[in-house]
Amino acid sequence: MTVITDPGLLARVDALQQAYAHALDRRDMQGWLACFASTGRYELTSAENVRMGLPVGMMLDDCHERLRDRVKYVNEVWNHAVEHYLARHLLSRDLCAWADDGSLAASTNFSVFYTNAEGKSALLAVGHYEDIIVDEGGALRFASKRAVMDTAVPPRYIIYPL
Amino acid sequence: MNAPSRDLPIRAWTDHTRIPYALYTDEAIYRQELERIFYGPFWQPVALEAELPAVNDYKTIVVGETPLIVTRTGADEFAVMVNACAHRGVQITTEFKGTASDFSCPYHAWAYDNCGNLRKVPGEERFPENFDKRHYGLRRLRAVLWNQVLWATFDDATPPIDEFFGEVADSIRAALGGGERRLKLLGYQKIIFNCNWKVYMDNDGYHAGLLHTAFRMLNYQGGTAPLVADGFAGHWGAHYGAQRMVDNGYLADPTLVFTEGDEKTAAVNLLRPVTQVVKHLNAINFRFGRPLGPDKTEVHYTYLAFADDPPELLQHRIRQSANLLGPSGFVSIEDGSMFERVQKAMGAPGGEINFLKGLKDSPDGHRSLQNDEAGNTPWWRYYKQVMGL
Ligand code: FES
Ligand SMILES: [Fe+2]
Repeated sequence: MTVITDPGLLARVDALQQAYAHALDRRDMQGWLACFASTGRYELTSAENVRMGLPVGMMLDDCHERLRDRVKYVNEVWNHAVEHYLARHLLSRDLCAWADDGSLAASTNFSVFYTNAEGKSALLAVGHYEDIIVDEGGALRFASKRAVMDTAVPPRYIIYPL
Repeated sequence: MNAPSRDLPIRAWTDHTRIPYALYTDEAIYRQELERIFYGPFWQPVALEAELPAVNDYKTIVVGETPLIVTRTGADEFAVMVNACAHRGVQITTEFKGTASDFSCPYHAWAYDNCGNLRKVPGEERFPENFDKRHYGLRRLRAVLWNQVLWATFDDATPPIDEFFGEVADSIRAALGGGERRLKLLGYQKIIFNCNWKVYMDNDGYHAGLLHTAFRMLNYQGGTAPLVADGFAGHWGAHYGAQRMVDNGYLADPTLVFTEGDEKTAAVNLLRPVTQVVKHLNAINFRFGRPLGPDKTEVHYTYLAFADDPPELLQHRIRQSANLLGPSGFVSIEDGSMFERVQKAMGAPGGEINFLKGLKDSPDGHRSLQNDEAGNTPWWRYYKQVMGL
């Protein structure tokens, strides 16, 4: 793996991460979906499970159909029953490198705050993304996005992907 | 048992089908529950055998508010002990899981074997003459391995486990593979629900299918099975033939809700005080709750497969486990939302929860239908008695 230093390329990676966070912070699930490649996958798990080599985490959308279904859950299925919150993602690029197959491997730290309907704010989760990024039709997209929470026990149920 | 403390807010509670809100919100009630229920005559799960596959594996868990260490001390032997040094009370380990043949306290280096016996004590020559290591082991709990689950109790009066679970034992066994198949650990989901532990238990097992938009959109009807409420404290269990989902085109990937292989039954069990053993479609999960005061409950969902699953079935279980029934699951997120809404509404003075459905046909609640509320009442009858209310 070669670490990427090209400022132009890093700016494109940062823009993709920002578009991702921007979509989630506005509950724009179509915008979230648009950050993934046509074969993209998403996973949310805990560092605890990862450390023990255990495959089950909080969300596992391991094909594009599942990503599309998650948009439906949030927008249609769950819309009336769940108690919505506003998320705020703070991201910080950690490492970005070329993988052997020509894709980009990026690690980005995140902290996600939430504000409930009464306007009370708290930390939802801290962790990092392990992403595989590809160029699809001239735009960078996630072939795989894995959010690993250091937070083993979130303070409330998680509705939107992190 | 002590007499009920004087400052409990409930003195004249007469009807175990009408539950005053104060029982779910009051700090004094909560403290008394720790004594009489969590440290009382109940078997509570402290580990799945699959979590500690090898000798010397250990894990920590909190039961009530007491931290425990659970160790595998032999091929089929386990020890459950309080995670507090016999010297000055220091927590011996803070790891969630690990492997160790002995434990050394970080404070003054008292060393225990993995059964909790004290083995070495630095500076012992200056202790009083009558100091005897045999009297300074870690406090051990009674424990029993049953259906590949290790159960422990703080109370010498807890009845034998078969009596404790009564008729519900069959449904627990069914959820865990019927006794022949070995379970395998797939991972954890952990969450805090902002509700009382009894709100969680009242609402996670029973509720009408009316809540679940997800099932409605898939055109799925369940919940026609008989429900048994039995055992020492009114555990409840439903073991039923599960209807297969028919793809109606709503999901892009309907395999999420399909049942693969020959597993035709489902099982939902609510074990008092705060455990659930659930098998639905191909997802098998074990839910254990830890109260964090009157209005918060931490729940650990442990997901399981069978050791002899073929690879495709294993993969299917992993996908279903991650997405269907947990705190952020396609179906169960709606349950989680209801727990918190119930708790919030309980600020109203003088309010009460009413259990009604099914009582006409099953006044004692022992046998009812799966979507009935009658099954909740044997537990509340017992609760009233054990709490001295
Ligand atoms: S407190 Fe554990 S050795 Fe002193
Ligand atoms: Fe439900």
